[in-house]
Amino acid sequence: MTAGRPDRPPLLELRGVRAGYGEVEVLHGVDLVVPERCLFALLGPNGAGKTTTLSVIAGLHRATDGDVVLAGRRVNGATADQLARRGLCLVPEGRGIFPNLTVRENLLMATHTGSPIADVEARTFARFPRLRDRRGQLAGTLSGGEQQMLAMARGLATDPALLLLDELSMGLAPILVEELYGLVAEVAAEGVSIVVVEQFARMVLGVADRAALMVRGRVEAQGGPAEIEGALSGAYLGQ
Amino acid sequence: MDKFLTFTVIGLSTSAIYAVISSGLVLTYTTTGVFNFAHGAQGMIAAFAYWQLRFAWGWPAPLALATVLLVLAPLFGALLERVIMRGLADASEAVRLVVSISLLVGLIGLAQVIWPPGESRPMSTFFAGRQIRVWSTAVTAHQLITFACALAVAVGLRLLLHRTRIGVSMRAIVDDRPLLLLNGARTDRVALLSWAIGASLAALGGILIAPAIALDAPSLSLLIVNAYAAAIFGRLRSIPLTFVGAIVIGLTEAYLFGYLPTGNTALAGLRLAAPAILLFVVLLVLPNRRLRTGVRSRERFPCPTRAGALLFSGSVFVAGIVMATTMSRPDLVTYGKVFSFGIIALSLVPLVGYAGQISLCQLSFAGIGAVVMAHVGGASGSPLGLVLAAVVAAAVGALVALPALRLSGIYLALATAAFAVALDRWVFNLPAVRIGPLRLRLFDLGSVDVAPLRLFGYRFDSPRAQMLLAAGAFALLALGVSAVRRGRLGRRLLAMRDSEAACATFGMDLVRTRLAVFTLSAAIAGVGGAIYATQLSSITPGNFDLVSGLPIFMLVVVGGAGMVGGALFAGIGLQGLLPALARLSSLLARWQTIAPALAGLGLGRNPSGAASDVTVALAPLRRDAPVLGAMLAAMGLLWAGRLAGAFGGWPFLAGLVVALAVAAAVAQHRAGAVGAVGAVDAVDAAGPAPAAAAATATVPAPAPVPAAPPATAAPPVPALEWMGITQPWTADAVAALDRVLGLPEEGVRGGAAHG
Repeated sequence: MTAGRPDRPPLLELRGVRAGYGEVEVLHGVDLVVPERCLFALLGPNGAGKTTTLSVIAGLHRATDGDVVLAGRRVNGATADQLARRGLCLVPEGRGIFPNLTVRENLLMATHTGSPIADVEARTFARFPRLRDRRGQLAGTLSGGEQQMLAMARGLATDPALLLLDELSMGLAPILVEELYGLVAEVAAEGVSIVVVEQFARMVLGVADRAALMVRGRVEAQGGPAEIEGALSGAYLGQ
Repeated sequence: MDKFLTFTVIGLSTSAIYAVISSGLVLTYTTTGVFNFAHGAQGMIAAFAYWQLRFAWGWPAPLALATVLLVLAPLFGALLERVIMRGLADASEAVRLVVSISLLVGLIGLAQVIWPPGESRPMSTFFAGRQIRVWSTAVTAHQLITFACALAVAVGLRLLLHRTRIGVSMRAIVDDRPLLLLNGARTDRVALLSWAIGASLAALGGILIAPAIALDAPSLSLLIVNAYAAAIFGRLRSIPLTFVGAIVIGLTEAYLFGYLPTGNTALAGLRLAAPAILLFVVLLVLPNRRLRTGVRSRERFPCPTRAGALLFSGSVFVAGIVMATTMSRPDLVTYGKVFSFGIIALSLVPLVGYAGQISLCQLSFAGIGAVVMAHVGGASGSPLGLVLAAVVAAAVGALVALPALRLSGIYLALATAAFAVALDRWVFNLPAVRIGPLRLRLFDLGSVDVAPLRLFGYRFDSPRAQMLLAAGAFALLALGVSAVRRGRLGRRLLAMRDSEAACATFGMDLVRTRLAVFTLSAAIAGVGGAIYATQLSSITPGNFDLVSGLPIFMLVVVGGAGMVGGALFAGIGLQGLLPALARLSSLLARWQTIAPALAGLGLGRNPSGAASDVTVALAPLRRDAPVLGAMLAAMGLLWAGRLAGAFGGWPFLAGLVVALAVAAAVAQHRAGAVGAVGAVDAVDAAGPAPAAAAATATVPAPAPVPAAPPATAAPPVPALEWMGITQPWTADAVAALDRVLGLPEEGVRGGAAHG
């Protein structure tokens, strides 16, 4: 389950990816391999470059050097919307919703990838019955947890090939975070490949198949959850 | 009662047109974040195009309408989005504004080139003569069509924005554009569509309203101020509230038209200015917005050094002397205005460049200064006029600043534009106003003569003396504005531009700071206006209206609003280059209104403006004494030759330009050779691998670094915010930061040793 079939390229591969903001380079050559059908945890302390890495993968941010390879195809330079329509779904950090649209209109936006609205609604409401009662409400007026559910709904209802989740836990009560990660594990079990970025590492390592540890713009370690867990405290304390 | 009904119908049909126009404005603003000042101008162009097809070429009305509304206008809107607006996504508000104002000015210019003003272009209403009776009043077919159009637009937009996926996407873009991309939406198509629809709505409004007022480019374009007021009712977001606003404004206008006594000249202008005044009032009652937190801007302006400011002002004054001694009398009259316009432009530097506030009414302040100079200065040209021009303009500036204290960005721009319109449509056209014992004279319903300034018994009455006066005044004020930038007020203004919220938490008084900068800026504009007026010797309200003032704002931002050089750029551009080009060729003369617009449209490329480029390019020359000396000697020789009559004006100018260019290139070359050696030295001195730079960036370097290299081999100093990031962190960097922050150097060096 941890590795893809040997005859096929990994679903996602980063080779020596460099990226930055203006003159400041943030990623100094990131190498990463995410096999197919895998729940992959990308961990690291604040400022390690995890979110930038996701942005580069999703096409929101341009890599200045290196290759981003999706299922064997180099996709540097593809735009975010092109990648999204080809099955890559990034749920960004901090509520990936449109606050001034209603819940229903938010779901309508998820149909840009090609799923019919009826499907998206049915799947979302099956998983999050709470959202059904709030269909007509402005998304910005939902509670934090409901907003995160709505954000995740896009990832769950549109059948992506690769789901990228950035800091699901941000600003949410621990019990809710646990619930959401339970859901993530469920979806992964259905065969969707997922990359989860988290600052709070221990929570994710429990559910992940593989993990990588980023420190200061580089991947320091990559392997099974147990291996990474050992390297954690050193990286977080900056040793 | 009949009269009331009649004016209600008239008012409502105007309302309907305003609603159509302003809903297009709201649509483009909400979906792309660009407040399209040129929206009305697009409608104006469409009205002209329709006139051309329908009346000049005699096409049948439905065909002409379909061509304009469904083909030409949407194509034009889409073209604008693709070519111009797309590049503005992360530009600052001032830059976006300049681009759309440039478009406004450019379109007015274009319309006047294609359809020269002065000809009569009658445009009849739809189904002229047909009407139906409603109770006791007649409603024309044209009015009925107008109502139907407004209704169709309201329903259509509602359906589009709430019922269709692309419509909902338009609203989603406002919330979070990157997220919409992550959803897989083609955001460029969404923006394209909203610009196309916006342009069509503008066109519809323009065609509907054109028969009611004359087909005249500026007045049709500025009609939009009325539509803006309606859009502000809906806070640029809500289309239903925009319709309410349109009704309020349309009815107000109609009732003022119907019920104001006609004999009173004071009230006649009020009708024209009413929407602008309403706009101003609506902006006043808008709820308080939250304080802005940090803004990310692409603009970077270096802080002028004292020596640099002196050099700049000195060069300007010397240039003034050279121009005054070499030019013919008509040239002196033409090009003398470079400096007075430069002063008016200078007033924007503290306001726009330092404080990040936008004002479109600087020329109106200048107009106030001009009027004061004319009346207080009197026939003798008393210097009291100049002083009072500054004082009165400053007082009015403070008055305008009061609402501005709560507004910023696009709202502030609109408020100042409304103020400028109210002045030029109404106040400047008033006869003398009596307030108690005070009798204020303005433009005396036409033009006013302005006597030349008399200072210490010397009368600045020749164009030569006036040019020297203006150049001297510009040089002095530029010194003052640079000093403000280096001083306490300048730091406050910059801090306020970067983050109002942070300033407030530091206990800074935002109200006083804003009041100060508005007052200062209006005073400078007042002085500029007074000097401009003495050069003109006879002034009319037309010299100081909104449309004439817009290019100043545009060119200052293009030149670089954060630097006094940007003001000189605006002065030279508007009063130097344009007249010179016009003289070279009559074809260029026709296009000269469009030239500044093109400059503004090119702004997206380099938001810091041209002045900073020039400063960077000339920096090596400034440090290179031998080359600088040689250049000045060459220029002196040229000047002597010109004075002796050895050659004419154009070769002289060309010679100066060549001398400057050669000197700058030579200095650049020499500095390049020296600088490269210096950079290598610096890397050697710093020693360890570049990766260490990032690690040490957060901690002052404990490593002992060799003493500063000799001055000739100084490494290139990075901009302040990049210290320790693009190059290793050294003791020199600490010292440089200390100098800028005004900290005692030794004390902090001790602290660094601790770290």
